Amino acid sequence: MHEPGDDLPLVRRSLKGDERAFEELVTRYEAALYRLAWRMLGNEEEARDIVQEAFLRVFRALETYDQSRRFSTWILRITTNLCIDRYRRRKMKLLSIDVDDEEEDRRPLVLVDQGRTPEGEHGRTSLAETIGTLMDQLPPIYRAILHMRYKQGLAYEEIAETLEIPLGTVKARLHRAHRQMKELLEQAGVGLEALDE
Amino acid sequence: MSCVERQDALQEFLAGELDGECRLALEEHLRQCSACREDLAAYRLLFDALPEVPEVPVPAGLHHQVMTSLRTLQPAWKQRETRTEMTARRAVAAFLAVAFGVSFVLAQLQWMGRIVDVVTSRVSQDLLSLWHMARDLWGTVTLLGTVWRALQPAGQGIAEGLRRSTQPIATWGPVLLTVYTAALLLGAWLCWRAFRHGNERGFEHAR
Repeated sequence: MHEPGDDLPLVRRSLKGDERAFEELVTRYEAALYRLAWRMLGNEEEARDIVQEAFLRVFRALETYDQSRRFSTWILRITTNLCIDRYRRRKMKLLSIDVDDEEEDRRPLVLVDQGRTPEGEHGRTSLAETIGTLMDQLPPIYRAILHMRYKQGLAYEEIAETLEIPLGTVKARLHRAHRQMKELLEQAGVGLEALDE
Repeated sequence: MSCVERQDALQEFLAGELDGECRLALEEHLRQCSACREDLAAYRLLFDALPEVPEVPVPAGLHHQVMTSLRTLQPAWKQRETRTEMTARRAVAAFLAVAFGVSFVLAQLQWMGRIVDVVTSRVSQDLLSLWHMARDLWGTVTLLGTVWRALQPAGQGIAEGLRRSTQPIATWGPVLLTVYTAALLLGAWLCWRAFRHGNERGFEHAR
């Protein structure tokens, strides 16, 4: 992620109608948005649509962007919300960003072999690839939090700002995501012996 | 709730974000609790492996797809551009209005002076002065009309060429500004010329 101040000149130039400035913002964030959308939806076509829609929304709403906040968290929030909307439509069931954590805790985790990794089959699957595949069994919001924390390197505060939830909720959800991942690892037979690798 | 009982204590411990007292308490607890040690080992596994989870490659056509969809919003870009240009145009128009207004008032004062001169001079000089006044005025109007007709197609031609050869955004502002400035300078020069000419006539009358 870029430093908060880095994006501001580009945003201001975009507001004046400078297409190249907005294109620079697209170049900066398209990969991060695509990977987040892919992680949450697990589908290339939908992830591409989400990225396109996110940038269209950003463009249309650029005048309402609060320039005292980070641009990166704003654009990630738009993407996350689009992914959750898409997931709701896809599953035809309610999935709020205010996920019922207690219900998620009670829901039994069932390991489903989806037979895919981001890179496809490359022979022996590494531990990290296995974990990446197992992540897809989590609710999308937990996937998003894990992705933001570990792949995008966001601080708890930045995740809270992005998802517009309290800091305590971020920590609690991260804890639940860890715990569910631990259960999935146990079900997949990946035990603590992996530590010795 | 003590820091050991907190749900997120283990992840903060692993991230090195647990403060001294809590850290010591948790380390003491871990020595006695095998379940928490097992949790910690699993979390450490995740903590180390999650950043290494392979990233999907970004599709090659994604950038093009996004930019193409954004260009369908071309009217919105133009609207933003127009807003900026409108401000510049208004500023230039206001400047021109003030400049021409001042020139007009000065010219009127000069004409009034000349009219007074005409009234107080001999009849033949009156007729001659009136003829000069009418001739100068007509010449100025004709010249402005000719310049305007000459500049209009030329300006359109230049603008059209620029529009084709460069990106449309951000080219109209400088072109319009140049044309406006040239027109202003020409108008100011014509006013100054008429003013000086009038002064010379005034001196002639005085003589």
